[in-house]
Amino acid sequence: MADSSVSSSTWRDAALVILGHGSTQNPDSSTPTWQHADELRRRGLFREVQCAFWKEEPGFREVMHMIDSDHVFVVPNFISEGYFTRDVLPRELELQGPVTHAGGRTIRYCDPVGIHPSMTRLLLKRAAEIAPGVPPSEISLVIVGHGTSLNENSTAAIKSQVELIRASGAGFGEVVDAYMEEEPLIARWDELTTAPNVVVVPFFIADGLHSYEDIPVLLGLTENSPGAISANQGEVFRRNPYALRGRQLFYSAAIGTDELMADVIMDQVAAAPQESTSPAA
Amino acid sequence: MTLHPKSLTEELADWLAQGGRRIGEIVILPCGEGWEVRHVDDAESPASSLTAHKTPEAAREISKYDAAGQYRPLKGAPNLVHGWRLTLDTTAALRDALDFFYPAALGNWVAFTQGRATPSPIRETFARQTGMYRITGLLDEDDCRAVVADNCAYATNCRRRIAWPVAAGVPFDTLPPEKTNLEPAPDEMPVLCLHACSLLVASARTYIKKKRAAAGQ
Ligand code: SF4
Repeated sequence: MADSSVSSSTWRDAALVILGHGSTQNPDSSTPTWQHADELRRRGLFREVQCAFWKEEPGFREVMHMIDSDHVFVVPNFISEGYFTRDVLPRELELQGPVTHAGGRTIRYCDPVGIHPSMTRLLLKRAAEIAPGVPPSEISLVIVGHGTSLNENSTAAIKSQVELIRASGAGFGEVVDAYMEEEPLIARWDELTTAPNVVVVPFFIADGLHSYEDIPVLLGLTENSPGAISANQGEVFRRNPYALRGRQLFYSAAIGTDELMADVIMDQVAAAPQESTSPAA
Repeated sequence: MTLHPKSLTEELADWLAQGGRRIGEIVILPCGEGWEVRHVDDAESPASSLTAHKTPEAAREISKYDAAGQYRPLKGAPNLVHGWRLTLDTTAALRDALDFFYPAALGNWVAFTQGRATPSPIRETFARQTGMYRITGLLDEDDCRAVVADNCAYATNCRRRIAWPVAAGVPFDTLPPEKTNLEPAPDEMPVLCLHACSLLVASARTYIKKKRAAAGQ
């Protein structure tokens, strides 16, 4: 029997658990996850909203002890599907599949935020905000990821966003993907693009070493001086536009820091897995 | 069916009604209809000497950095800053604040005392690691004791109290008693460690790699 109980009225009696990677080094790593949780708490859609992290507290194995609800929606605040969403998170949460019944509780395991088609909306908004007044037709939009196996399938997630934006009718001069450690390399951004204005958006969940320092160095926004930018953190995003290599370059903070990510989390909740069989009585 | 007869907020209210006042480095003081939370060392300080905060989320900021401005990824670290007070109107708000100061401490303690939480023996935690941490499965019982003694010391490193054995049937009897005492003073809620944290797993990886390198493996 199909389960028709997943609806906004169910949310009000349910818990939302947002899972993040977190960091023992970078205090900004978990900040966006907490901010999205705060926003969703303010909206009052759920009985309770909690976060849990791989590298911070609360840990994945304790978060279920923090909630009262019998129904739980789990949304990974991860940029792609891969090692974490397929191996680590299900193992640590002791999930049995998309829908888990354990200890009298029903846990629905949603897809990670980064692969939802609505990420496109965020990227378009970000591009419009960061280069106000510049006609899209004169913009090359570059979505940048890590590349290599480190970030698992982030490459696939980025390529699919590039296709979606091209098909969206947003009218950008061009839309391209680029990576820190694999071809096409972000360091060659001026060869990959042709428009007079270049908007670069890091496809990451949080700001950190990659967006504060590594990518700016690869773009040529700054000299390679480890720690110089981290010390000023967001400063690199406030100096737009950069006049560089004969172009005007606009550099964005990580897409995951956008406040609209809270809506993407809700989109993943709305797409939560349904029961294929009714739970045992 | 409701999973638990009482919500965690009600469990917290019961504990407070029975005189519960301390968790980790914080003290909870009755304040009008609500509560005031302080660093335990500031319990007797005049209110005017402390910076006042009013929202549960303030607890997240207070507990984020130590007095030297260093990030505190391990909330059990005994270096919570001094000089603040946090007033909260309701027990529900207090619960939220506690979850920022000592994440999951209330839920872990309630689940554990009600027999609904099964701590993972440390060797099992290491054995289930994958990827770059898979190597921690190679730690033997003595290695586990050494890594835990180095990383989890109650006085200097972490106020969580270890609820797990080395392996099934092999208790952790080599640690100073406060580290494994799960029933401290009656007014104190122990901050339980039910599963080793990622910092310990990372330290175990460094430990076993060094040990193997020294043995020429
Ligand atoms: S493993 Fe537990 S006791 Fe040891 S440092 Fe981590 S949280 Fe503290």
